[in-house]
Amino acid sequence: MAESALLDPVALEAPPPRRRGRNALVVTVSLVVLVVSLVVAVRIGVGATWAEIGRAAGARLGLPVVPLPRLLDSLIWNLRLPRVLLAALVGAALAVCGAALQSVTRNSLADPYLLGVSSGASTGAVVVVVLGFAGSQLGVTGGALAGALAAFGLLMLLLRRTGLDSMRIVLTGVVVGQLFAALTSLILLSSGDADSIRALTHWLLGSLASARWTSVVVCAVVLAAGLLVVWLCSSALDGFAFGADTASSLGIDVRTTRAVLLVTTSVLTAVAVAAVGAVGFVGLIVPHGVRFLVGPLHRRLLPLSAVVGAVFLVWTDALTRVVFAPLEVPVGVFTALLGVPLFLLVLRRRGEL
Amino acid sequence: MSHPARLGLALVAAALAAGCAAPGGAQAPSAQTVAVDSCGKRLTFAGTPQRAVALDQNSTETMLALGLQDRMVGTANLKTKVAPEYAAAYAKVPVLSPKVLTSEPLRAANPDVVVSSFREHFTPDRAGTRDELESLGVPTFVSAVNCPDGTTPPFERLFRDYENLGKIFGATDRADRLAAEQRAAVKEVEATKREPVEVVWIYSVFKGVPYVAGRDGMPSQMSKIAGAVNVFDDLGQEWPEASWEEIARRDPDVIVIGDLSERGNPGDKASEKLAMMREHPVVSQLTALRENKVIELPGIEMDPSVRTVNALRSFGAGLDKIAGRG
Amino acid sequence: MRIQVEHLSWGVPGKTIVNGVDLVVGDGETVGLIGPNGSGKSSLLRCIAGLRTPTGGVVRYDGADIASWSAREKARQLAFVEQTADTDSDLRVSEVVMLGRTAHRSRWRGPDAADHEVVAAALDRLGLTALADRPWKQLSGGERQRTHLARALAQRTSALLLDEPTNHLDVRHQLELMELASSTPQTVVVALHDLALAARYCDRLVLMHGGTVVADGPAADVLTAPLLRAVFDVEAEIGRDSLGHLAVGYREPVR
Repeated sequence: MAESALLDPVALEAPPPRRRGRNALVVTVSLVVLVVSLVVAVRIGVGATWAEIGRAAGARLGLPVVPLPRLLDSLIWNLRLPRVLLAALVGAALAVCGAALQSVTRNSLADPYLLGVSSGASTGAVVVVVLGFAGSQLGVTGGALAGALAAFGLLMLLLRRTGLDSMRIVLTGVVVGQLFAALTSLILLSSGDADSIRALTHWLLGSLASARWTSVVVCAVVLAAGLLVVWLCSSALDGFAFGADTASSLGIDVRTTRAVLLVTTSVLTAVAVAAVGAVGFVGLIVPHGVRFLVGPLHRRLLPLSAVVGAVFLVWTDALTRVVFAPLEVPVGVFTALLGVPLFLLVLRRRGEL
Repeated sequence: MSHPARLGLALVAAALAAGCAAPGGAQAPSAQTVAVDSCGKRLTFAGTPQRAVALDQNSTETMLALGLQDRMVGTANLKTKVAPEYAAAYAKVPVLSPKVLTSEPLRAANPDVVVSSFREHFTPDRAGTRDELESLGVPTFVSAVNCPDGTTPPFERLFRDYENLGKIFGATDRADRLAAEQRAAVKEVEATKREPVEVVWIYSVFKGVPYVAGRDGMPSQMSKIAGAVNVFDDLGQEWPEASWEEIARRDPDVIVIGDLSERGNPGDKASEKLAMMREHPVVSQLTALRENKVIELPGIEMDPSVRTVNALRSFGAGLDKIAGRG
Repeated sequence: MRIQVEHLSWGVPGKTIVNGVDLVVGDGETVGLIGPNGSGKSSLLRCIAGLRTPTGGVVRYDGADIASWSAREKARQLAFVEQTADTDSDLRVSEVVMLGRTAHRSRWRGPDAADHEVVAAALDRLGLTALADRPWKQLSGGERQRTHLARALAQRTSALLLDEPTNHLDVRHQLELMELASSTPQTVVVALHDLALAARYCDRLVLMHGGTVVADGPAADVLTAPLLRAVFDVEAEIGRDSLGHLAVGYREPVR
């Protein structure tokens, strides 16, 4: 019955092809940029010429090349390559989480650390360092992951009987974050010495120096799963734009979807932060920049944010390897230094500043 | 075995290792395999290492004191100037990083052994873990000072480092001589009878907060050797943070102040610290300060290194001077 | 689609806002909800839309309890337009209208040609075709309201629930919108403040006061001077304008 009224015999055409063509171009260009960035970034830094990279890769592909000396081979294969890949994975994860949380909380300043997960990760890392297990391969990473999941558990516990409305999520996240930040300070003050604090400074600001294949594999699996889940919530994320009631009337199970997104983004953030520390600004600025390019629809916004976040962090990390070489600056310092002007630029172009 | 014979063997080993450095020539005689325990790991060396990297100042100076600068392909993380007697040797060693060395430049330097004073260097985000380097065929030597076993005193652990490094690098002669010299110096300070005075060791003052010697560092040990008592022996750290009020409450007989003027931060000079204390309403009332029972020592020598014995000597001499005057 | 509201109550802790409402809306009927601020119109509408879980009573669509439906099923059966639903997002008009297709497609795929057709038809119906590519921020209040209505139409539901949809509209657009609401074969429940507009376009009016229905029937039976005095606390005169439409005039409030 409703159908008949709306089926006016008006000749209707699909939307202008201009925009679709532009999207296809944006996707192609960004994927090419991603692949090129990954390859070039492996070259950037100490001791890895193209010839050496070629020999390291060739030896693994079974090509008849002269193998590299063991340490140089391990520098390229076990340090540089996982580092570049981890930068890409973490950048992608943070950007996707930022985009999703900005929609869930209807707050354009939301970023992956809004939920207090990173503060939990810091607490876990500090505990591990203070207890003296930092030397083991999984020490800080494991502690950070445990701490992040503890913070996330507390967050969900505090939110469990609520409707998960935007403001409550933000406020609860802030509360959880503050609690864990206080715990971190308490532990550092009571039992940390100058050395353990120094050992953590890099990690707290975010550093990819500890990237290894283990964290790459973990992050890749979690990111693939997380990205798929978030992407399947694309239309819900679009629908959240007008608030809970409108979203609900569009057929979105608001509470369940929010819960799924909170769990997914928290786990993604926890794994990312555990791997490299709390790298700031990627999750905040990348989604804004990408919205500026392709609009706010999450079907396009999420995958493209992932790609742009990956490229952004790969290059920022490459910078940290060369700008003050042989010293390494924590990558979080550079993301902030680059992020602030980029953020201002985006806001200005959007006429919000 | 006499010393010249050992030296001869070491030279043969070095020559063999150098000659066999080209690929395919790794058949060093099994008699030359050296095995050393270092901080929980057993390190084995088929030949004498030729490409050592030292990760910090103390391990670098120990290597230089053993005359091993030609076997080094890198050093890093210098806190202050190298002691003048090692400056010429130090100039021959490439500085891989002025601060903490990370795993990429370390591996790019292609070392065959890594020497360090602290286990803390071996984390994934710094030099890489000891297991990783071991699996790549690079043994990691960590100073025994960093691994207390509960029985061996710190100075003795320091001397064991010399001996172990001597074995690894085929420089036993020089290592044994250095250890013997320093053992003698410790004995000498220990032999002098002194009143059991109470001492506070002030290493640095950061943002107005003094860092003092706790139970776990060399100063506590030096106090014992010289017959004195470190007043903060109840704090189980190397350089715990204290308050001026607490220092005043413990009312030490003698104050030792670390001079870090080579580090060059404001307040690093011993004189600056002293001036600050004299202006402090509580601390300035300390008997030790009013009677000028103050010993200034280079801060770098208060940490475990090949130079610590110098601090011990100066500390003993300082106590004697104060006692003589009192 | 026939909507039955049986003994419906809803409230927040300490306050009952909708109190035992019974209401039947016949298939294709257009019913106007009127009443002063705080009378419970919006809350009743939200309960009918399944956005609030009633503390008592049921809402049935063609006999089926709405509580048994998933969010998706609800969105295929009824569309709801809020009084004010704003956003910071840079969505374009056509993209907002496309949100109406959310419940009609799988999570795995984007909009297809059929979805674009429905959206284009809805845009055309509300006269928004020329504004299809315009960002939300550049729209006037009226254009935003019409965009939401187009979105609701794009949901292709049998029922349409509108909460004061004419608020931001100029006269012409008010008339067009109400014309649409009354002419569509959908079952429509619309909360309105403008009594004359309600009288002109609704088949029936439901007057609410203090969370209960105080009158339910044709406009002429509901809009009477005594009822308006009792409910709105105004002295009104009901008459006809020169075109023959029911008109309401008010005297100065007496204190």
